[in-house]
Amino acid sequence: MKFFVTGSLASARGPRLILTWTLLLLACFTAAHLARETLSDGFWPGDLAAALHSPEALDYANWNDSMAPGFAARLEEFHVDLFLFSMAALILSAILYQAHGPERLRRALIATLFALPLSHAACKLALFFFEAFAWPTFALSALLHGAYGAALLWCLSFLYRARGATPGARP
Amino acid sequence: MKSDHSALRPALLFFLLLVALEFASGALLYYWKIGFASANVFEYYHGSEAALARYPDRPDRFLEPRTLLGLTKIALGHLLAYGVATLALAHFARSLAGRPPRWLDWLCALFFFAALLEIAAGFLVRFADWPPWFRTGAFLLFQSLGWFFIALTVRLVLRPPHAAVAPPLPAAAGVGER
Repeated sequence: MKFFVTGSLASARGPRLILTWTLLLLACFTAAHLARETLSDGFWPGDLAAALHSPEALDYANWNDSMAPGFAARLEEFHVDLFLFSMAALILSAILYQAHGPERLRRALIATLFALPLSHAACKLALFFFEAFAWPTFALSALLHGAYGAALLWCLSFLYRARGATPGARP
Repeated sequence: MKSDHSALRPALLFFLLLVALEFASGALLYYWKIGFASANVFEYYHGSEAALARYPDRPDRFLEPRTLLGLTKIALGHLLAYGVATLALAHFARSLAGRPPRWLDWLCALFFFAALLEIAAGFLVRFADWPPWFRTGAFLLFQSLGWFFIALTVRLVLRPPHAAVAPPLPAAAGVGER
C-alpha cells in the first residue's frame, strides 16, 4: 500500500464498486456538512456575521485564561473540520492522481481540496473576532462545497468512463 | 498506479499541514479546557468542589465532575480520529522510508499505544484515581510522537531516501576477498 488507494481503479475487476460507495458517502458527507453549516450559522454573509461574530471578543477585559469567551467552541469546530476534510481530501486526491484528465488541472484541484477547508475554517475563526471576514467565509463555503462536488463527479465519471471500464461486472 | 512519490508530494504535504494544525489546535484546546498543571487536570475531571478541598488556594472555575457519558462521548470521536490519523502518519512514514529500520516499527507501535493511552488516561484519572500528571504525561507523549511523525514524513517527502547515493553492496565488496 504505497498510497491510500491502489490498483486498476476503473477496471470492473478492481476496487471500483467499493470506491463508488466511498464516493457516494463522501457526497453525503459534503451535503451534510453544508446542511449543518447552513442550519447552525446560516449561509449568507449577514447570517454568518450574526451567528459567528462576537463583538466583545477583542475586549481583553472579558478574557479568561488568555482566551476570549466562546472561542474554545469555535476552535473545536476548526479542529473537527480539519480532521474530517483532511481524510476526505486524502482519499479524493489518491483517486484523482490516478484519474484521467489534464495533469495540471488535477493537481490544482487536489491543492484546492486541501487548501479550501483550511481557508474556510481559518476564516470562520477570524470571523469570531472581525466582522469583515463574513464575505470571505461565505465565498469559501460556497467554493469548498462546490469543489468537493466537482471532485466527486470527476472521480465517479473516471471510474465509469475510463478506458477498460466494463459496465455490469463486479469487482 | 503511479509509483512516483514526487507526483504525490503536494497532496502529502497539504495533508501533513492539516494534520499539524489538528495537533496544534488539539494542544491549544487541552491547554485552555484542561490545563497542564496537576491541579487543573484534577479539577477538570473531579470538579471544582473536590479540587478546592485538595488545592484550597486555587480559584474556583465552577466545574462539575466529568460523567462517564461525557467522557465516552469525547472518547468516541477521538478513537476514530486517532486511529485514522495514527494509521496515516505511520503508514506514510514507513512506506516513504523504503526499507524502514526496526526502530521505526517500534515507534509506530508506541504511537498507537500512546494514542490509546491518551484516551484511556481521562477515564483512569476520573474513575480509578490515577494521578493527574499521568493524564498530562499521556497527552505530551502522544503529541511528541505526532509531531515527530509529521516532521519525519515531511523530511521523507522532501528528501526521499532513494534519492541519496546508495552505499556499495556488501556482496560486491567481499566476493574477491573470499
